[in-house]
Parts: sequence; C-alpha cells; structure tokens
Amino acid sequence: MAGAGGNEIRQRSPGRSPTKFTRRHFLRESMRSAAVLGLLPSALAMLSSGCGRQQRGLRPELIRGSLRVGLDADVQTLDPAMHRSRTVEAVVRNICDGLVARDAQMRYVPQLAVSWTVEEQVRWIFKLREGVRFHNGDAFTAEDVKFTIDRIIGAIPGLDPSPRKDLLGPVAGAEVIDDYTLAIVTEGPYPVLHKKLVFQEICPKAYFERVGPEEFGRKPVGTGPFRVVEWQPGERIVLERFDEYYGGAPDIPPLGPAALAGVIFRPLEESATRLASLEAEEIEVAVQIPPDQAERIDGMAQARLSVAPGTRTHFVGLNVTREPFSDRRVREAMRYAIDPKPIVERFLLGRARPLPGMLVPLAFGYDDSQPEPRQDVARAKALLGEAGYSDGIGVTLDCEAGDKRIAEAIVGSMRAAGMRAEVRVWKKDNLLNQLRQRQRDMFLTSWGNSSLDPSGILPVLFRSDGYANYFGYHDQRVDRLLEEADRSMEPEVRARKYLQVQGILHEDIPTCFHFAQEELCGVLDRVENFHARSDGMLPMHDVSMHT
Amino acid sequence: MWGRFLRQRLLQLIPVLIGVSFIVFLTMHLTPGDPIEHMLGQAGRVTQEQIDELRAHYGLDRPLIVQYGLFLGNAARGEFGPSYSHHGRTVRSVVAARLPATLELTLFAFVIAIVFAIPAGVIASLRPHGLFDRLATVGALLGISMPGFWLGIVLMIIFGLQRHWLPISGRIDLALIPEYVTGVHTLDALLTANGPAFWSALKHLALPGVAMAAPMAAMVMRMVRSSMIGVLAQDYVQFARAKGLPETTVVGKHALRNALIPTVNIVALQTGLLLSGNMIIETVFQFPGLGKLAVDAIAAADYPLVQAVVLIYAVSYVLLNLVADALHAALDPRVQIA
Repeated sequence: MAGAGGNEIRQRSPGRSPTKFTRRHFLRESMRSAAVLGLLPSALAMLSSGCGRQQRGLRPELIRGSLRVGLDADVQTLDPAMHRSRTVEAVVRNICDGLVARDAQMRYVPQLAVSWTVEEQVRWIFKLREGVRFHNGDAFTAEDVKFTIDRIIGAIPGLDPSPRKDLLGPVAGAEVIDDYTLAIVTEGPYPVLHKKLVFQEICPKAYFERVGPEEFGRKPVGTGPFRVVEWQPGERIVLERFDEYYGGAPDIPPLGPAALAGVIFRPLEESATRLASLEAEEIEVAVQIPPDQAERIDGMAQARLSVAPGTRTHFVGLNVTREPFSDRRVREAMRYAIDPKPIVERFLLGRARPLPGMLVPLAFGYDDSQPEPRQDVARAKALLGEAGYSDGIGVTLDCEAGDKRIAEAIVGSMRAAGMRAEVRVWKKDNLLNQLRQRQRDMFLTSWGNSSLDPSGILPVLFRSDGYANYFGYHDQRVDRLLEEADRSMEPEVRARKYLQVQGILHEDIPTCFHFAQEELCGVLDRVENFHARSDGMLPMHDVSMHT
Repeated sequence: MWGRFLRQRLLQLIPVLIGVSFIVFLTMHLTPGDPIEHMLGQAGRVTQEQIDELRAHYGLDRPLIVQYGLFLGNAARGEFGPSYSHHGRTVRSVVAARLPATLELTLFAFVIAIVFAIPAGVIASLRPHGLFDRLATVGALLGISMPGFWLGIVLMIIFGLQRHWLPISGRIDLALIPEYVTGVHTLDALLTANGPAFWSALKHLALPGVAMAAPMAAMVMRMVRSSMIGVLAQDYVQFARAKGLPETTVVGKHALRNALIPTVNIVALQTGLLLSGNMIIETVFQFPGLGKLAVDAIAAADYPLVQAVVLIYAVSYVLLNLVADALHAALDPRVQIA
C-alpha cells in the first residue's frame, strides 16, 4: 500500500542516472530464482519416486490398526492435572489410569488401587496394585500417587495451580506408608473421595520432574493402555497400544493389553464436519452428535448411533430475589405452564429426558418418588391470580444462542397461561456476567455433573454461598442438609439428606423445566464394543475393529 | 538508500504495534468474559476461592494499566507468558505449533490466486466484452461476493462428500506424515524427498486453498484486466505491433510488464486479507492454523494468546505493505526509494 509509506516514494526527476539496482536487473533475478524454486520440487519429487524410498512418519501398520475418533472440542493439553475439559479427560484417560475407574454402568471399581479403607473418617488408606509400569518403564509406586495428589491440591511449590483442585474438595495431602500403601488425608470427613478420584489420573513423579511441566503436557507418560506417539496441536493425537499394560481394572473385563493397535483423536469441532468425516469414513467414531443430526446417522448404511443417558442438567432458573418470581406461587405457576414433553420431542427429537429436578436418574440419591413434570394451564392461571397477577406477568427469558429455539418454545407455552415473556439471546460471557449480578428474571442454562454425586451440583447451585447460585436462593435448611451430606460417611444418611433437599427444592421451585440430553456418538459398523457413555469418556481398551 | 528506507519503515512498526496491542488489550478486557470462568467451565464443584487463586496466579486481579504494562514489557522481549486456555503451556509454544500450517495455507492460496488470475486477466483484456471476458467477469463477481465459509462448505460437499476426490479436513493423510523439519508439510515432504506425502499435503490444501484464494484471484484478475486494457491502448504498443513484433511478444513482454505495476499493490493488500480470511476458512476446514487458534482464543478470553496472534497479523500486514512499496519502486522506473 502506497498510502502508509507514500512519503518515501517520489517521482524520479527526468534525466537522473539510474541506480545500480535496476528494474531489469530485478526482473531478471527474480525470474531466475523463481525458475530454480519451481524446478526444485519437481526434481525432488522425481528423485523420491525413482528411489522408492521408505515412507516416513507414522508406521503404516499403526495407522491401519488405529481407530480414528472425531472430537467435538480441541485438546489444549495432555497433562491430566491442567484442565477442566471433558474432551481432554476422555483422551487422557486412555493414556493414564486412575486409582478408581467407572464401568459402563457408572459403577465405581478399583483400577490402580486394589482396595481402600477409611480410618477415623479422614484417613483413606489405599492399597496399590503391584507390578504396574509406566510407559517409560518406571515402576508405579505410592510416591507417584502422592505426587499426583500434591500437584492438584497445590502442595508443590513452583508449579502452576491446577484447575482441578476443587474436584478434590477438602483433600489436605497424601502420605506414603510403603511403596504400595498410601494414605490420603482430608480436612474433615469427605465421603465421596473415591468417587472424585475417578477424575484424577496418576502421573509419574520421576518422569515429570525430569522433563518439566511443558514437555509433560505435550507428551505425558502414564500407566494406561495406550501411550502417546505424537500430538500435533489442533490436528491429531496419535496413541499406540502399550504392550506391557497390566490389564486394567479387574472388574472391567477383558483384561490384558488393548485390542486396537492405536487410537487417533482428531478435533473436528463443527458437528457438520464431524458427521461428514464419519460419512466419508475418514473417522470411525464421531462424538457429541447433535440431536437434530442423529437421524442422518440412521440414514448411513455403514454407521450406527450409540446412545447413553446424559449427566448435564439443563434448566430454567428463576430469580427469587426479584418480582414476580420472588413469589413462590408465580414460580409454581411457571412449573405448570410448561409442558416439557412436546418441547423435548420437537426440538431435541426425543433425545432428551425431562426431569423432576436437578439430579439425573443415574445420580446417587435421586428421588424417584417425585412426579413427572406435567402441564396444567388452569392451575397455572389460578396460581397467578392468587399471587395477584391475574392480568399476567411480563418477564424476559435469557439464554445463549444455542438454546434460542427451546427458549422460544418455553415462552410459547407460558403465553397460554397468561405469562408474557420475551426471549433475549446473549453471548455466554455476557449472560453469566448478568446472572452473577442477579439482575435478570429467568434464564435457560445448564450445569454438568459427571461425578453423578449430588455434591458435584447441588451445593454449587443451591447453597446460599454457591458459586452458581444465580437464583439468589437462600434456605438455611438446604444449607445445613447439604453441609451434613457433604460430611457424613454413611451413604444411607447422605441419601436421606439429599432426598430431603430435593423435597425442599421441589417445594421452593428456584428452578423448573429440567431436562438432560442424551450422549450420542456416531460409530462405523466395523467398530466393535464401543459404547457411548454417560460421562462422555472414551475408553478404548476393549474396543476392536474389523476391516 | 534501501537501507535507510527499510530502517525507517521498520521503525514505523513500533508505534503501529503499540497501537494495535493497546486496542486489542482494551477491547478484550472491556468485553465481558472471564478466562478463569472459561477454564473451570460449568460443571462439577467450583468455588470462589479457587477462582481467586487462579486469577491471582495470572495477575488478573491487578489493575488493568499494570497488566498492560507487564504485557508490554514481556512482549518487548518476545515473551507472551502462559496461555490461559492452553493451560500449562506458553503462548509462544502454542503459536509456534500452529504457525507453519497457516503459512503453508496462505502461501498456497496466494500461488493459486496469482497463477489463475494473471493469465485470466490478460486473456480477458485482449477482447474486452468478448465471451471470455464476460465469463471471467461473472467468475470474478462470484469470487468476490461468495462468503468464504459458504464457498468452503459448497466445495466440501461437491468435491469431498459427493465425488470423494479431495479430503474435507485436516492437513495430510495420517499415514503419510513427513519427518518434521519445518512443520510445513509440503516443504518437509520435499526436503525429505517424500513424494506421496507431498501429494497428500497438496490434496488437503486444495479445498481450503481455493476457498481462500477466490476473492483474491477475483480482485487481481479484474485489476490485471483493466490495467492491461489501458496499456494496450497506448502508443508504444501500437508501435510494437507496427514494427511487426509477434502478438505474444507485444502482450507478454511489452504490455504485461507495465500492466503489472499497479497489480503489485493489490496483490500485497489482498495477501493481507488472505491472512484475515484464514480465520473463517481454517474454522470451516478444521485446518489447525493461527486463524482457528485466534477464534478459539477469543472465545476462551485467552488474552495473551489473542494479543500474540493479532500482533503477528499486524506485523505481517505492515511488512506486506513494505514489500509492495519496495516492489513498486523496483518495477516502476519512475518511482524511486528515497
């Protein structure tokens, strides 16, 4: 552009002698170099085809025997301690095992731990599996577990803080008792430690200290069924079978090394691209299929849909600190105004399940006595009248762009009950910003809880000091019950308290219109033994493929 | 003379970069969005204590002006600190991993655009309003008007899904990854004399490359055509014809050289636009380059990463203009660098 630097360029006055570097000279030289550059590639290509040199890069047999997976999000790190991403976890879980794992039915089973006992409510003694080796040959010992725990809770100075710290709640530290025995100590009783350990994969202390955090995040070493061959950020993660694998959790057969030669994960964030890649058989598994595209997979001759109930609860939150939803009767009217079934059928094509409350049926302490949500317009109108809103109410329903259609459907059914509402679509950040200030009427949002324990969702939403208590909900009984459930080592006691909380929430109605979407994966028929999982993990140990 | 010119122009980069970084810094921090919130997500247990701890670790709790000062100090040393969204990695390593892909795609699109546009423009100019000219004009109009993402998807559907001729995403066939030399797959394949890898990388470049090159090719073609028409009408061309020179020499040697002079500026400008276009094209084709990285970084409020990528764009844009000015001076004897 001449504009920016135009002042340096001026017309040459006629008659001045040309400089040494002439135009002709420039043109000649540039033509010459272009010719050389143009010829070079073809010469090299000819050379290569003539010599029949061996192909470089990944071994062909690894590529042929590898299952290719299209992920719905990019992977930013492979360090098990340095993310809060389910996608990263789904990949890393194939590289690094944890002390505890879950089977396909979401039951907790020992993996690198053999067994555990709890002493004095705060000391969890773990017996560790012997004879397990990391991919680099180092033996797995209690030191590695201690290192893993210490790093997450921030007990190792000089390292970046781990965003997974909250997932270990009140864990205070770990003590090595002997090579294969370890105590994890908590501040006060922490009944769900074994459940939370599912989310923490064990890292090798010696290797981490040798290579440092950056390199470890690029190429971690674990005890898992696959080891990292290479990670090209944004492009692919290539794993190959670890032949000396100890076999995995004894409760999840088959044991022994993985059946696949390898797994290649590719981030294909656009669902259309993911589906197109599956259709073109460039990948064998496509995760996170949107409900409206699930039918396309049914239409593919060579692919099938794999389904599991989801763990993320979508809901409409009501701001109990502002009129009109500060009146419980208006909130109850909301519950009766909406008919979840047709909305879920129409907009999620039945790929979701309406729920009576915040917990999904798979969750610990789920209250199955609560009635299915159902519409009752007359009752909604009556409740509004009782509350003094016989002329109806006017509110705004806030949501993100992706939820717009569902929000409009909700608003449509509210209208029948005499509630005027308009949908306002926000950018996610702006919405959360508004919700935190509790300045809005009602909003459609979601919270994930793949731990399937109420402690991972109820306190954060409904405790007075809950981080995501956007409703301004405050109930001392709920605060106390949640605190007690968080601290009781007796599962029955916990379950009872969570039932009570669900009962109170059902009465108070800070939220309504709950539903959980199904986990949908597209799978080519040549893949065997792959199943979509509720927790979104992609364990590849048992999966096989025929050609 | 050239030395002074370059020195001056490179010094001009400094205020440009400071200005760009300030604007980006301000817009990123003024738009709602919290990198820590993005880091933790909307799932599982999240506490204010952990948020505060992470915020302090990244210096996000300090006054904006202090944060900007720290950023400038680091940037002057070529450091951008840790990335927020690529936890545990530095911005420098995140960017370095993506740069080769974008360079490769941009260069490829550039070559396609030039190779296609210049001959088309010349042929169109020989018979203005003739059949070829009209076809080329319609083509150029389409090239300019079609949004990149739409053209990308159409190309994907036709050549990838219906015909299965070309791959629809990624950079290279997984089985053919060449040994790592520069990270630019085509170049690495050449340097290691790996013919199949070179071919595969080219095939993967084809669709995003064409989608990216289309608007540039259209602009350049129109420019070449109109300046050729102007040049062909000049007296010296008529004289060359009168001398009995063959038409190819008249057009190819005498007319084209002069017609290319105004084209150079357009090419440089359009190359700058190629860089910005790659955000969309890379996202559509899942091409792991800087453009896609930038889009993701903005969504995750990863301030330092956005800063770094934008600065790279700004530097390349300024440098491209510099090259255009230098080329202009080299090609046009009436223009001289002072």
